[in-house]
Amino acid sequence: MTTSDAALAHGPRDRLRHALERAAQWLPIQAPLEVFVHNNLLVAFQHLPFHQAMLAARRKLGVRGYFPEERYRHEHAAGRITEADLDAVFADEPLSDEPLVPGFPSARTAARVVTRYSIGAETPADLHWKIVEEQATTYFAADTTDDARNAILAATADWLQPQLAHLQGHEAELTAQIVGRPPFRTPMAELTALLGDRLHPAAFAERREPVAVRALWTACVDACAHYAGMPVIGARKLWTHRELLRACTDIDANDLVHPVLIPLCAAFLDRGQSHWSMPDRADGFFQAWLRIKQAGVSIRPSWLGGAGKRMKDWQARGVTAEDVALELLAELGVEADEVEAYVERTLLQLPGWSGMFHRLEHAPGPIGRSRAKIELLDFLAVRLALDLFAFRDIARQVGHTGPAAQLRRVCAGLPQIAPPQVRGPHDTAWPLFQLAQHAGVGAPTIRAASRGEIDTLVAFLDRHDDMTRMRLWHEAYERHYRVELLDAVAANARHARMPEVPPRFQVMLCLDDRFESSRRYLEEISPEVETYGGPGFFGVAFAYQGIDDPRTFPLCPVIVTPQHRIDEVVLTQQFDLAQLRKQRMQQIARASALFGRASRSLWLGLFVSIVTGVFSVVPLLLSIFSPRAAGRLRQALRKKILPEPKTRLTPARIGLDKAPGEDLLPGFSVDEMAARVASLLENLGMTKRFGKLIVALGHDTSSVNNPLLAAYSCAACGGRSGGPNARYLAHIGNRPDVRERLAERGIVIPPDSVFVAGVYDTSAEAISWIDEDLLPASARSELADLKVILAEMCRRNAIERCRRFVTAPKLNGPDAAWKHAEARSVDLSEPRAELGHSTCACSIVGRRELSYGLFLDRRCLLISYDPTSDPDHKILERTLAATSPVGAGIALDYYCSSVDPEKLGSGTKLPHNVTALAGVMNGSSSDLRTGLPTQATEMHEPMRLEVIVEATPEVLQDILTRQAAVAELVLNEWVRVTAIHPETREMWTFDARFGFRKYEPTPVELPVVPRSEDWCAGRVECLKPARVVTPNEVKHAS
Amino acid sequence: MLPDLLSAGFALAPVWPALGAIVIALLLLPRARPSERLVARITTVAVWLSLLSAACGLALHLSHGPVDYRLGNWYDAAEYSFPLVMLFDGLAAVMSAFVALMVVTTVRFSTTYLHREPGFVRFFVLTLFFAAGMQLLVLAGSVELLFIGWEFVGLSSVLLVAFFHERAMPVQAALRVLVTYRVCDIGLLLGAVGLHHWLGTTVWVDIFARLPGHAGAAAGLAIGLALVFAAMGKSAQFPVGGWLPRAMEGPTASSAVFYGSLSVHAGVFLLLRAAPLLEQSLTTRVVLIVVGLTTAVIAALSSQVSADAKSAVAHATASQVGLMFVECGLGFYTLATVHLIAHATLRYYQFLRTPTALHDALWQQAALGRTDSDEAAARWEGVALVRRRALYRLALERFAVEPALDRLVTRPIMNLSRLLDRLENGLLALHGRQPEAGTGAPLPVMAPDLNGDRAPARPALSDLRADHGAPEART
Repeated sequence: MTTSDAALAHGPRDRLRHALERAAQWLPIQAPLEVFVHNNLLVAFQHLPFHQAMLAARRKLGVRGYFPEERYRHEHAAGRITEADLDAVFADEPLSDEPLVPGFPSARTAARVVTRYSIGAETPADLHWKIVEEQATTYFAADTTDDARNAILAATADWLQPQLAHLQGHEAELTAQIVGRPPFRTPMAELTALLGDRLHPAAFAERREPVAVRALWTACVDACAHYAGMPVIGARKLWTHRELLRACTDIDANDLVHPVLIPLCAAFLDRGQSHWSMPDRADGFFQAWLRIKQAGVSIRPSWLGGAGKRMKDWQARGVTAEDVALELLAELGVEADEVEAYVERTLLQLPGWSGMFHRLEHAPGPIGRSRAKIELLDFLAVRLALDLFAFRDIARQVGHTGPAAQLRRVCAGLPQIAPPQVRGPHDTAWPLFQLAQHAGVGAPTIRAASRGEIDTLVAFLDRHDDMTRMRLWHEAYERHYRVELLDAVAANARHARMPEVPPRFQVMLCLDDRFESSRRYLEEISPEVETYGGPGFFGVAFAYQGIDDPRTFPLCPVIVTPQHRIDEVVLTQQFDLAQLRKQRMQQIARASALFGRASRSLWLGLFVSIVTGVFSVVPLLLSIFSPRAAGRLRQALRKKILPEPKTRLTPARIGLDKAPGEDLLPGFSVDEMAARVASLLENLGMTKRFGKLIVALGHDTSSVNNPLLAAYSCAACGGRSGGPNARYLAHIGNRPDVRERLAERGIVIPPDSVFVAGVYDTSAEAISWIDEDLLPASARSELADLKVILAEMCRRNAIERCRRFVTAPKLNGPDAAWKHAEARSVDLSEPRAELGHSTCACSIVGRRELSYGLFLDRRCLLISYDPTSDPDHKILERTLAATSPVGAGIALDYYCSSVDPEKLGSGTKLPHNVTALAGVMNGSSSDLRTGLPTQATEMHEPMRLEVIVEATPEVLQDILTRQAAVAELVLNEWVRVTAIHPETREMWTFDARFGFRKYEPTPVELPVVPRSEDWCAGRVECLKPARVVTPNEVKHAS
Repeated sequence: MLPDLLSAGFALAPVWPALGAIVIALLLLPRARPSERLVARITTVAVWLSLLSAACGLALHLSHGPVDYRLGNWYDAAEYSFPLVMLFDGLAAVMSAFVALMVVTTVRFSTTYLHREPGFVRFFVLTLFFAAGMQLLVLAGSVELLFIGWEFVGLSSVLLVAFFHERAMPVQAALRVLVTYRVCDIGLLLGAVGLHHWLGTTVWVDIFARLPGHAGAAAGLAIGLALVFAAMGKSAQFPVGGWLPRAMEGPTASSAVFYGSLSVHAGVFLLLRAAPLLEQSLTTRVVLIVVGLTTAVIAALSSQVSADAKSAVAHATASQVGLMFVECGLGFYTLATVHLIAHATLRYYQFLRTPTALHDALWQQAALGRTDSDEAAARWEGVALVRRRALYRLALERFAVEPALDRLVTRPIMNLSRLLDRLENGLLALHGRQPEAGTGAPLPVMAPDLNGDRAPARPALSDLRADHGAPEART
């Protein structure tokens, strides 16, 4: 807080700047859509422990950090959460085992009952409904256990017995104890109605349940009577102008401001979508707004009355956005100590747009092409100005025409449409009643409790509010998966045997969860294939410019800044071809730009729409009724029209210097190359034996009509294809001089082992090869064999993917599935070409032995690491530092977008509207939607990433002391870590409360299947782990 | 024999989708939700049958020319009968086939596009109702039947704008569309009533037959203007076109078929259908040209500055539809028909591809080696700054048509109605009755026992409201 003190010491300008900076940290960090990086959407809260962060995020942003409670209860009913999970979660909670108050169960048991039955406050209206329509205070809830029912019935009967014996003259007293003061009837009439008869002992015996339940409810209401009218705990105070005005007029200033502000923001930030760009963008948003809105003639909306004069005044005085923001804050009567909070509230009215302003101001990167001067302060100034006029207009309607500074005081004095909430039976007696009901506590115990004891109970129930209950449910939800996973890994480690034949092919893939199945299939198909997983940039981080790219793009994880530049260079003899390609591309682009422009213009539009309209019916019908054929046709046409010249990548750098004016080194020197390859091979644990082919498969994806395309591609390459990285790796790995240097480091690659590069399209399930012509003849024949295996892998993989596509038709065999996958990737109408990381749940950092033959349902980020060749744990430290932010980012992006699809995710894709080439809006005017759409998250089981590391807890603890970023994720439980001992296979799970705790796996035997398809084909849901034991393996074992 | 069969087949074009919608709606009656696959299958069958019917229509037209198909009267009352009559001419045959084709395409597209959407079934029911309405509108032989189809189209359109009704914006936008439609429907109703008075019939064929005898009457002008007004609402023309960009709140597929393709062109179809009637009056034609041109210019300029994909296409659509109005006004009916169908196909495709806007633009920028502007943009930036600002402002604010309408029409009407409300309250008070308090009063009782404490608060609040009237009534 020292910075904040320092800011206060300075003048109002510093205060405003500081406030803006502080407020901006809560804004979404999403960049324009062409780069997509999976990020923790609540990264601003990452310094807090996970559950505390969810609480803080709810308070600050109003987001829900977990599934709704009903969803967890549904999962419980469906068996996704079991009683054993709840037992384990509650055993770890720091709760007392002493009875809460006499007659009640212990805090631990009560907390469990509260969670299990979602016992908590209702709204008064809900309670009314429950009492009147559902008779919740007359009969037991349907899910009350028999024990609880019997205990309550027995206790009530014992209590009634003596009173019924001496009923004469005490009727009124007894009636009051059972029915209290009913609203529409006299107590006696109510009791008679309840009994269905006159008041006599036989009737009480007949109607035991209504009497017992109603007596319990009445006892709870009486016990909690003293709470009535108290202020609600934690109720948010209304304090901004908008909130107060809305509370007393029901008019939302945002409804006036946003339709004016949003088109302005879109036009200002536009990077080329509109044909006419906004004038004066270079002077910033505020100046542009000021000038444009005074130009020419127009009619202002009536609520903007007086704006013209004010704007003229500003322009005449030549004020800056900062001056105006300060002026407006003062005019609105925002005190110095409120500025920070007020600015924060103001920006959070449109978090998407203000976030985009902030993002483009601070990280120009690929966005800085626009000649606009983008500053969040400008946005704030315009927003405050519009707010002021809206507030004044609404205030006029409640009769306040004075200065805006008094607005809040005036509003506070006006009656509110909905009176402030106070405590009452809905949040005191009702939870107490439910707890008593489910815990088997009858009316006499409540009546006997002192006020202090009742207060203890109510305070306990208040503590176990919905956030606490959701947290506990969520822990149980995660635990279920964790136990399943750890038991499966333990069981697999007991049995699985790696094939003993030396590898012929070694395939390196991205650590992506989608390649879990690919690797499994490769190993299933041939024991001669060995697979490895690591970050998909293959250790070579560079800024890359292909022949079609307008500039360089960093091909590496976002946390890495590339130092080198690699270009795709056309071979000299193919120059003409490249020239032709470039020309044709320009022609096509010019034609399509012209078409786009003409179809939107007036007279040309008439001509274009008549001429092309008739012809557009062909591509339209073809691409909708036969997407696969249309896709193939398009591809064939592209091949035909755009020749592909042969190219090479930037050769080795000889000198050490950068070109003047460049901040990137042109290419890698041979030493750097050797260092990269060595470090990659060491990381993967691939230093001892080598196959004939060492294959690097870069990750790519394809889909059409998808603004979020980049979210599905290689996360380790900034949302772009990993092909160039694979290609470069193959190039440098095959260099004799690099191999010499590797040999000096003890990595001897035999001369007949050849690096090969390919690109794996996870959506269309297609693999294409790069620089095949450079391979020696022997490698080419090896590759021919491998291609057969890979094609089979793609087909089988398609079956496993198609099982989760509900819309997939009945698929007969792998070929149909493969065709279906291909069709999806070119289908205009398909919002789910592939499911991306939506199944991502865990990560295994270790040797393949741990997961070999284990069916993990494409849910696991597999990171190769060999602890046996890492005595000083440097490799592990390196690997964790590089991969844990990526893994956590993916898991938490999906987590946040799943649990709150509207506020954190971007909702359904269907109404999305690409805006300003930067983001998507819903319809024609809304906030920019950030996060993932429901189409990506609907299948996701939101859990923190379960990371299993093949290392001892001591090693991990040691690494955590050095790697702050990893430590933040682990210690604050944004990922859940399990250590597995490299030799003994003992396991320790990490929990911030207990540190590393020994985990004893349940000795389960996994189901065994000969092929993955036998386990998964035709099943839609998430599947439990199984072991795939191929006939080969059986042969080895015997 | 053959023409009878073909005519009967053609007449079924609106029936299949309606039947499909009813079957799906019936499936919804038991509480279980029918599966997506079943709904998609029923819809597909219904729309393909409709396409088949439309094909019958084409065959009929090619073999036999126009047919006036009369099924008798729905009901007869004193001096009025509701004729069930269809007009199968070239326009109807072509439009019906086009409508059916677009609907078949939409259904195919939406089956995958709307997968897993909570409103899946609702979407298809509405699309089928829309298809039925559109076919009826196209085939109708009388203004009344056309009106029924017109209303089907309007209602399904409004409900699809509000498809995501859990958010406020779509509902507000849908309300806007509904109000515009309803106001402009008055035109169609007045037209029908006027025709009855003037010519004694609303059957198109009879109208066209009786027209020559009644040329030049002022009634003709009034009816013409009424029909034009109706067409303006449906086709988003100046000054009632403000709803079009707002209507983009629904799923992309429905935006495409309604606002790129069919619904937005229904107004032009009405003009084409009523062409002989409109030709009677020069004023009507001038109005058509003026309205069409104004819309075309405003919408085309607005499209130039639209920074979002769907608004840009929506404005561009409105501008071309404006040109179609001009064509109708000038009497180029064949051109207008060709323009209508070609344009509707193009916009449909463009709408479906709006999500690609980002990657298309980036690809173009990459291929052209430019990262910011191109020649046309440079031409725009060459315009003198003062004029550029003024033009930009007008285009961005869509020529301030909406604030103007708000100030000149909406507010005066609202003020008048408030005045009437106060008058009514005053009259009621004379009779000793309290005007009703505003809405949104808290629920009466929250729990049986404790309302005693809370009771005094409520009368106080409602008194206060009664004294001051509803907050929005205060000025």
